[in-house]
Amino acid sequence: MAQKKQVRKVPQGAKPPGKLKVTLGLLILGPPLFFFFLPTWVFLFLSMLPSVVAFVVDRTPYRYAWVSVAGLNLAGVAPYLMKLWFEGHSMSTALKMLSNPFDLIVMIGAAGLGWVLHLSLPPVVGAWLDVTSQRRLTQLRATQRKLLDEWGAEVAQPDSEEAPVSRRR
Amino acid sequence: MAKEPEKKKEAPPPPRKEPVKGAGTPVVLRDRYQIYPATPLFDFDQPSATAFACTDKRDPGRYLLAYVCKPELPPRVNVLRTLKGQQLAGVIPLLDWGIVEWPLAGRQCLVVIYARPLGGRVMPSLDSEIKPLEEHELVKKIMPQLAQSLKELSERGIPHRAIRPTNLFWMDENCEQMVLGDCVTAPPAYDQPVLFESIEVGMCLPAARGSGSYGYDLYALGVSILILKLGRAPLKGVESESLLRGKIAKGSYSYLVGDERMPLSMIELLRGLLCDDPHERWSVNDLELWSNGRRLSPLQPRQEKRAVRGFAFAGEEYNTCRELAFAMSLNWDKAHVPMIDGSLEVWLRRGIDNKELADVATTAIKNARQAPAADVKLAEELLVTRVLMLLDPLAPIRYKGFSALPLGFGPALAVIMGTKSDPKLFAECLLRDVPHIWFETRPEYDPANSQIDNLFKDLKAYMQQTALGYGLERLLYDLNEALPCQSPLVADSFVVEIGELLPALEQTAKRIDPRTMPMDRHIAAFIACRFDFNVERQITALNAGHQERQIIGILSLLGTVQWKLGPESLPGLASWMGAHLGPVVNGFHSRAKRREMEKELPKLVRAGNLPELFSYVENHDERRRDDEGYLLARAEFAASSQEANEIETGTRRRTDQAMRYGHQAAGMIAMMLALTVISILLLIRFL
Repeated sequence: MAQKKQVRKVPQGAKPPGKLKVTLGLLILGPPLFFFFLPTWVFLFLSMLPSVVAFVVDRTPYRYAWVSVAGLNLAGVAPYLMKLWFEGHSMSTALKMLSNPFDLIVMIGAAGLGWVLHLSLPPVVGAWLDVTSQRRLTQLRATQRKLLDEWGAEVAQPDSEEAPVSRRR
Repeated sequence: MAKEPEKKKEAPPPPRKEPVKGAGTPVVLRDRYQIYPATPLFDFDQPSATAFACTDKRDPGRYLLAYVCKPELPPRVNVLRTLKGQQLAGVIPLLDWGIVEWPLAGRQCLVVIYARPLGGRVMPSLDSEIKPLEEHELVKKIMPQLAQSLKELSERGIPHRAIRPTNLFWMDENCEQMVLGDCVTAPPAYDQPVLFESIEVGMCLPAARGSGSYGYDLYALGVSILILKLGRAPLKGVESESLLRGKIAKGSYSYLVGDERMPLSMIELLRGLLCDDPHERWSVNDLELWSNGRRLSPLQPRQEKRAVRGFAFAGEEYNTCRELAFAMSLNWDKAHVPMIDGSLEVWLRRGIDNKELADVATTAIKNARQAPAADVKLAEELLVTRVLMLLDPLAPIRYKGFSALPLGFGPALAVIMGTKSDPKLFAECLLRDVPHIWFETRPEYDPANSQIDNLFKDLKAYMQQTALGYGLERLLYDLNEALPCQSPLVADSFVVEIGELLPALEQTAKRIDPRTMPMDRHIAAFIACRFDFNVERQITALNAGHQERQIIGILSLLGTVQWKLGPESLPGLASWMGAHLGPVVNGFHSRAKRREMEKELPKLVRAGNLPELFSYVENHDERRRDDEGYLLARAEFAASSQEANEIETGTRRRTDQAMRYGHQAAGMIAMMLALTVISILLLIRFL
């Protein structure tokens, strides 16, 4: 019978002190910070939409597509983000950059390169794995030939086909 | 039983003035004795050996006689060795013996060389008649000679066991010196007619009489003297069984002498020699004293207790236990009936009036009656055996048709094996402990009996094992200490001592097909029996199920013999052994080790040292290394096979792997690029 899992009872209403501090900190600092960086949040949300799309459309179990897309998307967004931060951190600047087709092409194009990278590397890795496997196979065959030369064909027989060595003594 | 060669029923011809010389191409023994196959000497033939003319190269004027033995009969080798070159008074001089390739038999035969008795045989055959010897001639001339001959033999521990008038010879042309003839070409007493054997020995199979005691020689001498005195054999044409019945019923002296008139001095001699009680029979000393002139009153025979009423069995009535026991032994299948139905017990109690014997017999019968239904037949057979022994304690061991004295088991087995007869009765007798029953039923305790009884127990244990080194072959050599090794591989070399075995095999190696194994049941048993060194491990290896271990066992056994007894080098045998080492070499897994062994073995074979050869092929460290290496190699091969298989069959998995690794790599690269770009932009801004 399964033993009852011993659970440490925490008094009702009591919360860990660290978590409380973080919650309190976020409640106090969160709204001012959100509003203070609102142009950045809006700019990042809109410019990084391809990465969000990549996360959504990737149905593989391990979902690596958004990482590749987001990485290069971020690399494409980074110059404009610097501009936003260092040349006038305002909603108008953010919207201006987001409405500039050239800027958008750079940002979305970078995300597209992320897709290209994501789709092109597996065949390359596959080819590399094939080459190393074939090399390993050649090595194994050579080892087996050497063993056969040294110990004869019986070395290749399964255990059940030959009496154990101890029985011959 | 072998019969004396047929002779004409007439007096022997006068001795030849010029004895027959050999003619034709001789067969040479030891580069000295020339034996002439084309010149048989029929006058000297023995039932188990044929006589041929022989000359000595060193002394061409000397007349010799060569007996060529029957190959199937075991000669008395220990006696041969003792008598060779000896000059015993009253015994035909045995000059030499050996093995020769005998053209008339087309095989090798044992030849015994004697000085030829120039006066010929005293009596050509037992059917013939000769001029009776006079009393004074017998008493003054013959008896001292024969008494001296028996004394000489007894001093050397040799019972002759072939004393009969047809084996007595006149050594000189003037027929002055009578000598005892050959006694070595056949097992002890094998050729003796029942007439010349005491009752108990006469009951035995001819081959199973054993060398026995000097008393048996004296009995045979008594019968021979009687025949010489009469000039003819008494009771001619009487069958062996009737002879024994007569001897039992009347006593040997009365039955053999019958109505013949004997001088008083001869009566004393013959009563002493023909006494049926072995304890009362004259000894060699008594005979010598008589020859020197001592005269006593003749021994009076002690009659066995007779029953007040006879016991009816197989259509006849018997009045003594011994008579009845003998009759029952001849009617074995019917013998158990009066025992089981109780009539024998009643007769012993009331007829013989021997309550002790009746009680012992009753106990045996009760035990037999209690035997389980499945064992009734066996119990009845053993009951008959036991009761016959109780009824006649002097009789030999009797079991169905087999009848032998304890010391006769050896020669009996030798003859059975030599003539390739069926050993079933012999084996059954031992396996059913019949000799032990015989020792149990002895009326008097004899320490020697305990020893022989224990020997029979060991023999039974050996016989129950069928492996090499045991079985009937082991018994053969245990029971016949001087029997040569009967293996066909060394049969020609007459190997008696263990030290002679390897040189004989070395000789065999030169001519035999090397595919033949240098070991068989006889050689294994011979070594196990005669080699004074514990070889149990080697014998066990001989019987291993694996061929490689068997060959190692053979090499080990022969190597041990060479190590202990030499000779130092046996290149022929080593080469022979080497031809069988293939499985041993192949027992190593390592091909490199095999190649090394194939290179090294010829050198060791040329050296001819079997122990070294054995140490080389049975090196435990090398074996262990080979086994360990082989196991590792198998594991390595299996692992590499599995990996190769995975590579060959893992395309889909590899594709999945490539996809995953590719995506991971793409993610990594993208993130690295992003960080790099951000870092550069930040640096540009702040620098």
